[in-house]
Amino acid sequence: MSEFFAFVVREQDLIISNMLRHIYISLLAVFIGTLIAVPLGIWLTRKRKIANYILGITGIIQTIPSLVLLGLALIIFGLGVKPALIVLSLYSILPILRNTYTGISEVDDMYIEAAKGMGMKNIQILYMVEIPLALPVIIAGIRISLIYIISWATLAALIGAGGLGDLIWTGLASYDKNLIYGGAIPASILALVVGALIGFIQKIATPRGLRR
Amino acid sequence: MVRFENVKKAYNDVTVIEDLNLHIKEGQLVVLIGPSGCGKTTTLKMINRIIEPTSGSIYIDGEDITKVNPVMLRRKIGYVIQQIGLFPNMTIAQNVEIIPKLLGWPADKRRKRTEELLHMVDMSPEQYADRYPSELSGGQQQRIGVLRALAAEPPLVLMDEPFGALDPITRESLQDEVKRLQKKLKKTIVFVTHDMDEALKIADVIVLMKDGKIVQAASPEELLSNPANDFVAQFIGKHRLNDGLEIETVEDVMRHDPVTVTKDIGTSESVALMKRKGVNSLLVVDDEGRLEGVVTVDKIRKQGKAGRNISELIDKDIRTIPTNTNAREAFDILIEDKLDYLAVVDDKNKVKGLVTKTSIVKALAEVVWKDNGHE
Repeated sequence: MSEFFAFVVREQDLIISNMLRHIYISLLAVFIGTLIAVPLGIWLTRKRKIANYILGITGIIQTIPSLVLLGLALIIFGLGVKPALIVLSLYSILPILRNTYTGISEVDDMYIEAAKGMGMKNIQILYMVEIPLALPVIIAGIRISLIYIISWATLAALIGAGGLGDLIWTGLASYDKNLIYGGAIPASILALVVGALIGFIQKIATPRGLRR
Repeated sequence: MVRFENVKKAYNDVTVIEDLNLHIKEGQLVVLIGPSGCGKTTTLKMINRIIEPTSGSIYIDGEDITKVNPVMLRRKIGYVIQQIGLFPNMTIAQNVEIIPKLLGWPADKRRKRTEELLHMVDMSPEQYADRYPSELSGGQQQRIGVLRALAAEPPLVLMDEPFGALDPITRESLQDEVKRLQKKLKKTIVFVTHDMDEALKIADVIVLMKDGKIVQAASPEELLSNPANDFVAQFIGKHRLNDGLEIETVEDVMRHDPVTVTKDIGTSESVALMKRKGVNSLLVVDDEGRLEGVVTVDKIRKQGKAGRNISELIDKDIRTIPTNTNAREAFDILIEDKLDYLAVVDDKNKVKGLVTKTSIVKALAEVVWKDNGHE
């Protein structure tokens, strides 16, 4: 154990720089995923008929083992951050999409009718009523997504994205326990901290009238 | 104010509104009433174009509403729905100010209006303006629902069973309040309900509908004294009784909700049902509701076996009378034959009600005190 601490102290610059990169890749991937998933989810609530197909397709993407998808991205886009971001963004879409779709769909009809009856335009109903009421559910989706992506980003190191995965894979290749711990422990802590942080944001974003 | 001309509404082949003609005058509180499925809510929702008619025209102040942008149209019409529908993410003030905000009123004018409205229903702005709907009782919430509809001073307000989900006491006080506000603010209100008490209490004009048609449109007074046909008379039945009219047939005095069961029900289940309903016998009917007999708690206790059904315990020897029997005659039978009850059946032997000694007492009380004759 003391050996490991010594390693951490010695290599703190390496660990911190990899961690920052890890955070950067994960956040960027989820950000891109959110930009795609939230509007798509809202649009799907207006197109119920095709909603099941789209949700089905994204569900299938989710079931493809991440190594396979990373391999494919490697073949198509080559090594580097770009293919990793593409794959991770794709993975981040489903939880956010599903939660956006469910959150908006589950806004009680009476609110929509009241809003309509008062003379709100559709776009006003969306941003004054539907999105505020669905926001806690949407953020929950983003949270789940981000936690997944933080762990999957360790795999993305395989195709040259860098991050904490680099330490783990190097450690595995060279039988260096300390390197493995040095990557895995910060990655786990990161997932926990980010999860808690978003949970907190979710609480703040919940309209006061809706909190229990 | 609002005029329906030959309005028809059909969904595919099902006609819900058939050739409706109605003129709602300015400043009137018009109640649309009728059994469920009569088209009253559809009629209401066509006024603010939540539902579009299949054919015919609706005019507000002489203007064909299909020529007006629905969003603009609705901002000039107050709308109160049964589920209240206050937005839980907004405070009371924010809820009330929605339409003024949509109309672009400046903030201070909106705030002043909200305070004025809250004062009108005796809710102090200091105490309530910044609360959330979930912190208010159902009655208070619907008060706000009404204020929200009145906020932008629309000349016309639509109310779709607004008090249906509230308890009777709250409902009454809200009815009083709406009536008071309507008189004071001189609004035209179209109000949908299925509750005749409510209609008689608040309406200037009652429009009684059935199967998508208007059966009678008249003042409460006129409706009570001159019902257009049997359906109207039946719909307002118990109210006519209150107006000092005589009790005539057993239908006026019987219990309308006798406890009936079919013969495949188990013995212990029957006993439990009797206990729950506070009765000592159950009327046994077939699948069509035709009377087969009666089963009593004594007989089940003496002869019943647990786990068996009641079919062997049915007493078929039960005294029945038709629905049009004179009430007095029924009471005579009841007393002279020392019976506990008489089953009231129609010409197909279907159970319609039950006359008991309690019925006599109630009927007497109504005649003596002209009390509200709720069953």
